Amino acid sequence: MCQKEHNLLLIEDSDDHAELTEFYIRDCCPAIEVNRLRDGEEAMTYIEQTKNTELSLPWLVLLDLKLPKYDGHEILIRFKNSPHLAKIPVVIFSTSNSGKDIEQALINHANSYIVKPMEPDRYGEVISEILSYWQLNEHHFFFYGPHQSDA
Amino acid sequence: MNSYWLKIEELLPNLLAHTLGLKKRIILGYIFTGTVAFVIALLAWGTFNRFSNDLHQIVFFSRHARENITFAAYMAEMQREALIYIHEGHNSAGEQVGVVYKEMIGSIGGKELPNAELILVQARTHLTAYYKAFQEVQRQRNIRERLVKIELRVYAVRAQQLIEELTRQEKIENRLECARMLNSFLQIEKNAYRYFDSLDGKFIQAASLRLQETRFILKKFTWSRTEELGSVLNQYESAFLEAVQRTRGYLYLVNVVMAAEAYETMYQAQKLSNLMISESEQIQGKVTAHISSRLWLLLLSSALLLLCIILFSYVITRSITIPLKQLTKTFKSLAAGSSEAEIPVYPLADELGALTRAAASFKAKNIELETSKKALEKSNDELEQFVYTVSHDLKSPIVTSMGFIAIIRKLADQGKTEQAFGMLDKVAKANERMSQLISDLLELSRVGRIDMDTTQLDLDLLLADFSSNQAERLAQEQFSLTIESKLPTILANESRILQVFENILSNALKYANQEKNGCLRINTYSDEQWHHLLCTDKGPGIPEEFREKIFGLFYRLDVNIEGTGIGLAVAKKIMRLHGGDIWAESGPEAGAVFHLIFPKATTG
Repeated sequence: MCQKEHNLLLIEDSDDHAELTEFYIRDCCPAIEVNRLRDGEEAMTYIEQTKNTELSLPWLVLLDLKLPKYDGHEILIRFKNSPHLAKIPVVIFSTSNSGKDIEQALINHANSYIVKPMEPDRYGEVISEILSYWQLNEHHFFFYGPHQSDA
Repeated sequence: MNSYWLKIEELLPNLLAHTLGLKKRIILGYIFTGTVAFVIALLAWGTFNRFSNDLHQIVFFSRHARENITFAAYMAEMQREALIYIHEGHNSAGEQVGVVYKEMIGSIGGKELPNAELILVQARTHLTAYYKAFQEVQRQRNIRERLVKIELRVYAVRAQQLIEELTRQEKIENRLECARMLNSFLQIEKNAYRYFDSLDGKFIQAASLRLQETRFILKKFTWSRTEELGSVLNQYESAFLEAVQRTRGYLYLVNVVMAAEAYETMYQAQKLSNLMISESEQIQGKVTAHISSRLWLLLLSSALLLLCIILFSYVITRSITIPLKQLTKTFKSLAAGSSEAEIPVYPLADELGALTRAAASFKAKNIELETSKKALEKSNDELEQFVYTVSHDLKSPIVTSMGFIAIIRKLADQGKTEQAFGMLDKVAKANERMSQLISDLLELSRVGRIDMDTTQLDLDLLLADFSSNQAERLAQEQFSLTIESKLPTILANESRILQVFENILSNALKYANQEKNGCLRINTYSDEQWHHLLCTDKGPGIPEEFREKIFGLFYRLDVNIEGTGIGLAVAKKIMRLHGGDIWAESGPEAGAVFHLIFPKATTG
């Protein structure tokens, strides 16, 4: 389905959910490398690190909302306020379908909000749809910045 | 200045509003206005009364002035009558003098004047003297009249008879001498009457000369009755001289005494009338001054009193309108649902007081409403939060199990049965977790829903029991629990309080005993309102930003540590139900402190 090598950032506290997500990512796009963070604090540390080091930035972020320590909303705000990271698409991937959560996430510039499905086969479908959708978004601008976009 | 006035303007009506009821205030206003009107009327009455008194005086003086003029006329009349009497001898004129005199004595006025007494006395004295002199004149005149008309005539007739007799008896040659004597005697008479007619002194002298001549002629005769004639002549002479004397006497009286007295009387009358004029002028001046000053006073006092009425009615009106305005404002804000509307202070039990009390009960209703509204909102918020959390956290194991079921199917389809069976464990764990969450939720909902029987709990005893019950577990975990003695006694539900300490202990065991040999220390202190219990561990502590979050439902700081994240939520709920609270603090060293407070009032 997809060949390109991508770097995906998964912020998810539940080991089970992380395993499911990683399984389905491997299933449809084996080339994608998943980097998982286990709680809000790890995510904050990661965001801080991107400022100083020349880490390769992720292609897509899957962010759970209910996290130990800092929750997904706080991380989203911090993420979108970081000039390095703001352009990276962030997909909220949470069990919550509360209107409040959705509204707040969109206000804080989440690129997409997907509710974790409870049907047995939907989980894989949703993951594959997310990945294929964001793979359409192959602009140099996103990865190399405006100066190199013409090259 | 302005603010000072404003203060007064507010202060007076407020003072009035706080001391007198509404009805009383209105009645007071009417009474005050009526009193002021009465005072004005009284002042006006006084002024006009005074004015009328003054007018009376003026009228009185003018009447007396007129009388004084009449007095002068009377005086002239009296003098005229007196002169008529004196010269003509009409008795009616003499009587008229008496009538006029009585009239005058009765009519001399001006007794009211302060300086008139002396003048009056003098005028009366002189008038009386005048009249006495006139009476004397009358007497003298009567005597003279008698002398002249009777005695003188008698003697004259007798002398004439004697002379004629002598003539008849004498010889012819002596008859000439006799005729001369008679002639001389007649000359005496003639001169005497001339004198009485003209009152000219030269006739007296002429009469005297004639008398001497007559006597001289008489001496020439030697007649038996010469002596008789001589004595008649002497009698005649003495009667004549007396008549002259009398005449002179009353002339003196008339010309000197009466004239002087008349002049004096007139002078005193003049003086009196001058005095009266000056007095009446003074009075007029006074009256004029009085009237203008009284009128000014009346005007001024009326204006002042009217000003008083205006001020007073203003104050009264304000004393009604200020509370009304305040009440209106209050009711407006009350009607808008405010529970912070200011209720004006109004201590009296009149209509405004009733309104104020109505506003106060309105406010109490609003406060009650707001409180229940807030409580409702809070419980709604809590419910929403609860529903949200529950839906999120309960969904999570379903998502897990459903996801793994799909994987298992997929693996089974691919024939990877081994791997598929391995996944089943995950599904089972997810369902276990689901059941744990449900039982936790039931536990949380039971707190507060099930009746809480509270008793006096001696925390010393309770925690000693707790410590001994937990001893085995603590030994296993190599964890030490230190409980200070002299803990307070509180009014609480035993099992719930035990649950709080269990949750705190199990948290400490999970988070602060990862390298074993951890400890939890419970100590206490009190202040005015609360009993404080501090549960201190020596673990890694809780960063400040999570100290509130950890009490949230299903919130866990570390996913690697087992648990659902319900313990502290339950502890918080229990503490709140006891009227106390629980929160996290940083310890004196690294560890965490759970700070519990119990209200002191419940200890009884």
